[in-house]
Amino acid sequence: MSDAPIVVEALVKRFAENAKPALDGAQFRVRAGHSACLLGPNGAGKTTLIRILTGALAPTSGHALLFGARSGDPRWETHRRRVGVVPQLPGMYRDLTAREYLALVQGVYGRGDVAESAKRLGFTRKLLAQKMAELSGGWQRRLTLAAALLPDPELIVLDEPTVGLDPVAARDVLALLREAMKGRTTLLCTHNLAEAEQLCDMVVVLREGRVILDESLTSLRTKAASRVTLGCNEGAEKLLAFVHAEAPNLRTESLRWSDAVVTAPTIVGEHVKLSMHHPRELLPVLLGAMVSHGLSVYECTAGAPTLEDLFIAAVGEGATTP
Amino acid sequence: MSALKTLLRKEALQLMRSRSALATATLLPALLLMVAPLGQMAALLRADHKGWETVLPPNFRAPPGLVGIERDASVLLRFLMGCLVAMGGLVVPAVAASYTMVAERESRTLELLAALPVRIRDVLGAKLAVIFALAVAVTTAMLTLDVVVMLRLHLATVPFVLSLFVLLLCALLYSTASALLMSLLARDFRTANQLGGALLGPTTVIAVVVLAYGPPGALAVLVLALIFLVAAGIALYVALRVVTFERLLR
Repeated sequence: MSDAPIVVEALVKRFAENAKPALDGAQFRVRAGHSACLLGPNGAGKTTLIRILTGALAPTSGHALLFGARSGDPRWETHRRRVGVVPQLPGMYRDLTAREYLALVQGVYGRGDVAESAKRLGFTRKLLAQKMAELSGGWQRRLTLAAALLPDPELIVLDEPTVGLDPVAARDVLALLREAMKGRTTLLCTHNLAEAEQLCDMVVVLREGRVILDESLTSLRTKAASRVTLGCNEGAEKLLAFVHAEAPNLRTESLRWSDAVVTAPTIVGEHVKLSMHHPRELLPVLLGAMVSHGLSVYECTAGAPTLEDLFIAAVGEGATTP
Repeated sequence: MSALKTLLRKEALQLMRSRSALATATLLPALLLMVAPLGQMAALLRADHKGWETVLPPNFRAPPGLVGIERDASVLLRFLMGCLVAMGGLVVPAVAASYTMVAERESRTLELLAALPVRIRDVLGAKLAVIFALAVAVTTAMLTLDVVVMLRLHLATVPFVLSLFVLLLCALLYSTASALLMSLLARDFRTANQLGGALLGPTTVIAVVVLAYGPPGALAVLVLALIFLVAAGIALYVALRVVTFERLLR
């Protein structure tokens, strides 16, 4: 397993001797073919971690291994060439064209096809001839993505690839990312939980430099409570009163309602919402009770928890900005 | 090697496109290495006396570097040539470096380079190599013109003019190495210019003192060249020990 594309072991990074560590024993791994999203509140150490992984920063202690090699290892430079990186909001050269920048990337990696990479990302000849700083925000982001994909890397590391883009440009970049990530190991650092949910199968949550969650989304969803939405024609207040009065007595052969409910029911708009485990077993019982009580039920759904739910559950309500 | 070549190509392309860097690299040395020396030579030609015995105070005692000035005004020209060559060599790489290195840092394009599999030493090495090459090309061409005129007018000997070339090369080396240190300390143009000025002032004073009070003729120029060479070595050693992407990305 030492040749996993990314292995982070007891990683500590201090920018000054007595300063609070930006990374404080962070530990996780991303196996080949997996897409991990790196989440965490502002200042959690995400960008520091990415910079250490790419060799731009040196760790204070611990290791960040790329394909089993640490920075300074003779093999590291070879393995570093297997990685494409999209940095967070980099500056753009005023005196280099998009084509010249891609040619620079090709020269540094010693492989790749500028024309093909540019075409894949939708660059026309006119756009390629434009100075980098004169491209729009969306095209600048496409350019960094084209540069990261140009050497056909096995691992791509993306630091906030859609931050600062308007919704249309962000959607375009997201679609390109989805395509680019196919068959590649990916580490995606993002503020956008919906984006992470769409693109990744693994979640690593950092908080104050420590990894507080490192799990697959599937496993998290299995463990996490489902979001239940209830609606009836008699109104949300009547429905809430019913749920409070009757639901605690509901049970199946092996499950009790009171053991399954995670958050108490509350009124949200015209609905009553709650989160609970085992909705497949308990909701039919609840639905039966609602109908026999004379309520005209028009909605009774259980949705999988979103990444936002999982993130808040892991990090806490106070830190909702990953 | 291919990464370094690519970086060299990039730096050369950018430097050739940077009007301010090119203007700095040609205008300042043109003033120091062409206008001032050729003006001095023209003044010497027009003068109707060889020495300055009439304008110097009666009890004037020239320092070792200016011995004979009362009889031969070309002594002053040779003294000034040493000072001007030293300043010309010092100013070009330092200013050009602040345009290219600090610009990269200030505009956050360094992030793009940090995302590539390149070493920071290669990035800075490529920048300095291109700046050094430009500075050598421009200043050597200008000094060659001065030297040809000086030799034609018998204002200097061959060993002296050769020592001027050695001085120029060592001043350029020192300036390039100190530019590398500056790139680690300065985050913006203003700081870079202040640091450049702070470095240039004392260095010029040292140059004048060595040329005036050092051994006479070509030897003083060579002593000054040696001082620059040692300082270049120290600056380069310190810079290479502390240069990291981390320092530059801060």
